[in-house]
Amino acid sequence: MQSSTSRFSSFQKQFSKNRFLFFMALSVLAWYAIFRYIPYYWNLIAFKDYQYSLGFAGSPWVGFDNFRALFRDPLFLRVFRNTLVISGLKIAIGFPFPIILAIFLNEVFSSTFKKTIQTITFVPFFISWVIYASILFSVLSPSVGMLNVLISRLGGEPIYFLASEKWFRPILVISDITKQSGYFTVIYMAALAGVDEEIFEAAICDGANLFQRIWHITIPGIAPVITILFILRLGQLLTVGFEQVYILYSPMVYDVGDVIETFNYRQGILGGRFSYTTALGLFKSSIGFVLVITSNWVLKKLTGHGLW
Amino acid sequence: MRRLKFKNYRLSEKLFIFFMHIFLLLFGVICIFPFINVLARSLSPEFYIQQGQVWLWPIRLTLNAYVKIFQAMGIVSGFKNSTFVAIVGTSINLIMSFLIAYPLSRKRLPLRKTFIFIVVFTMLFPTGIIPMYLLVKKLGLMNSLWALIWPYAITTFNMIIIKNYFQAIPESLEESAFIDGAGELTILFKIFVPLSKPVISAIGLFYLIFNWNIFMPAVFFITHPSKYTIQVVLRDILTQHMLEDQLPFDQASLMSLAGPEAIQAAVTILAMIPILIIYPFIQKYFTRGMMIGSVKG
Repeated sequence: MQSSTSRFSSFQKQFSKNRFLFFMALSVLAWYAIFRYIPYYWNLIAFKDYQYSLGFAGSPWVGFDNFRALFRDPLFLRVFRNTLVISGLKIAIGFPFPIILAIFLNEVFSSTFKKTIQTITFVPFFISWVIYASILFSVLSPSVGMLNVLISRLGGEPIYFLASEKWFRPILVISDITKQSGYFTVIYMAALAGVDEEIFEAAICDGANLFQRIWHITIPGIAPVITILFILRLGQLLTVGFEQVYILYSPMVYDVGDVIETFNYRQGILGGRFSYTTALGLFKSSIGFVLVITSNWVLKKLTGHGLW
Repeated sequence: MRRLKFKNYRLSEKLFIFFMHIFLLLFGVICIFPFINVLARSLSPEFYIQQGQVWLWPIRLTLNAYVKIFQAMGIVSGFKNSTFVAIVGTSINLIMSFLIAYPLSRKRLPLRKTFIFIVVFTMLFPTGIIPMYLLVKKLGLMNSLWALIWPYAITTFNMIIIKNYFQAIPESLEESAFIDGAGELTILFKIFVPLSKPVISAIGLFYLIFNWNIFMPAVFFITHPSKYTIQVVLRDILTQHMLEDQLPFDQASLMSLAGPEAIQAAVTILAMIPILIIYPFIQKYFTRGMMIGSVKG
C-alpha cells in the first residue's frame, strides 16, 4: 500500500513536470485511436451480419458464422492456395536473390561497374506498380511487346503472358524480383560496408580462398540483417501485394492468380460483403501477427538476432 | 586493398568471378532495357511501335504523344491531384511523425512504454482493409483526396526511425538547457528541430515517394474520375489498352501520329519523372537514413 502510493505520487510528479511532452504525444495518439484502433474495433463485424444501413450497433451478432462460411467457400480455398503458392515462390526465389546480388557485388573489382549496377537495379523499387506494369506491358504485350516481337522474329508464336495460366505466376515472381531486389541489395550492401576490411585482408593472408571468404566473412556479416528481413518477410506470408496482382491480372487468370487481397477487394468493396471480407481480413492479419511473433522467437533462439 | 590481383586467383575463382560479372550485367540489362524501350516508344510515332520496330532508340523522333497528353483533361487533372497529395500529404506526414517521435524518444515521457506499445502494435497487426474502408466512408472522405492523406498520415516504421534518431541525442543536452532556464518549446525549436534536419530530409523523401505512388487506397476510396491521381489515370489507360490488344487492328489509328501505345508510354515516363528527379537524393540519403534508424532503442 505504502509503496504503491509513493509510486503513484512519483508518477504524478513526473507527469506534472512533463505535461508538455505528454500532451504532445497524446495529440498524435488521437490519430492512432481514430485511424488504427477504431478499425481494429470494427473488426468485430466479422462476428456480425453487418449491414451498412443498420450500422455497427444495429447489426446482429452471428458468432463464427462468417468464418464457417469462409472456410467452406471453394472460392476462398482457391485464393488461399494461390496466395500461399505465389507468396511461397516469392520467398523461396525472391528472398535469396538480393543476398546473392549483394555477395556478388561485394566481390566486383571495378567500383564503376558496381555503382552502375546498383543505381540501375535500385530505381524500380521507387516506382509504383502501375508504372512498372505499364513498362512490363511494353515488354510482354502479345502484339507489340519487345519480347513477343523477338519471339515472332525468331519464328515462334507470340505468347499472351498475362492471360496465360502457365505464365502468370512466373511473371508475378520474376517482376517482383526485378522490381524489388535492388532495394534489398542496397540494404545488404550497407550492412557489408560495416564489416571491417581488415578481416578480409587477414583472411587473404591466411590463405582463405574466395569461396571461404564469402562463406566465413561476407555471409556472417549480413546474417543479422538477413534475419530481420526474413522475420518481416515471413509476417507478410499472406500478403502477395495487392497492387501488383490487381494491375496485372484479369478474369482469365483468376484460377492461378487471384489472391486474398484482390478477392477481398472484389467481394468486400465492389460486392459489399463486409462481414465476410472482414472475417477474411482478420484471419489474414492474425496469421501475420502469429508468424512475426513466432519467427522472431524461433530465430532469436537459433541465431541470437531478432526484431526485439 | 583487400582485393587480390585478378591473376593471383585460382582457376575456379576466376571462373566464378567471370560468371558473377555476367550474371550482374545480365540482371542490370534486364532491369534497365524496358525503361529505355518505354522512353523510345514515347518519342516515336505510333506506326513504328505497332510494327514492332522501336527498341532502344526512337524512330523519327516526335513529341506528339506528350503534346496530346496535355490536351487530355483527365491526364492533366491526374497530375494535379497527385501533386496535391504529394505536397500536402508529405507535409502532414512529417509534422505528425515529428510530433510523436520526439516525445516517444524522451525517457522522461510519462507512460512512455505504454505509448510505444500502442504505436508498435499497429505495425505488427495490420489494419483490415474493410474496416478502414468503412471508416473512410463514415468520415465522409470517399472521393476526396484527403482519403489518401489522413488514413496514411503516419507510417509507423518511418516514425520509429525518427524516434531512434532523437534517442541518440543525449538527455544531458536538454537537462543542461533546463537548468539554464529554457522551456520545453525552446528545447524543441532550438535543439531538436535543427538537429533533425538529416533524418527529416531522408524520411521526407520516403514519404514523398509513398504519396506520389499511392495507389491501393486510390483504387478503394476514389471512384470519381475528376479525383483520380495519375496512378489511377494510368491504370485506366492500361486496362483499356489491354482490351484493345485483343481486338483486330484498326488501320486508321495505326497510321495516326500518337496512338494508344505512344500515349501510354508518354504518361508512364511523365509519371516517373518526379521519382527520377529526387532519385539522386534518395541514393544519398537512403543508406544514411538506415544507419540512423539502426540505432537500437
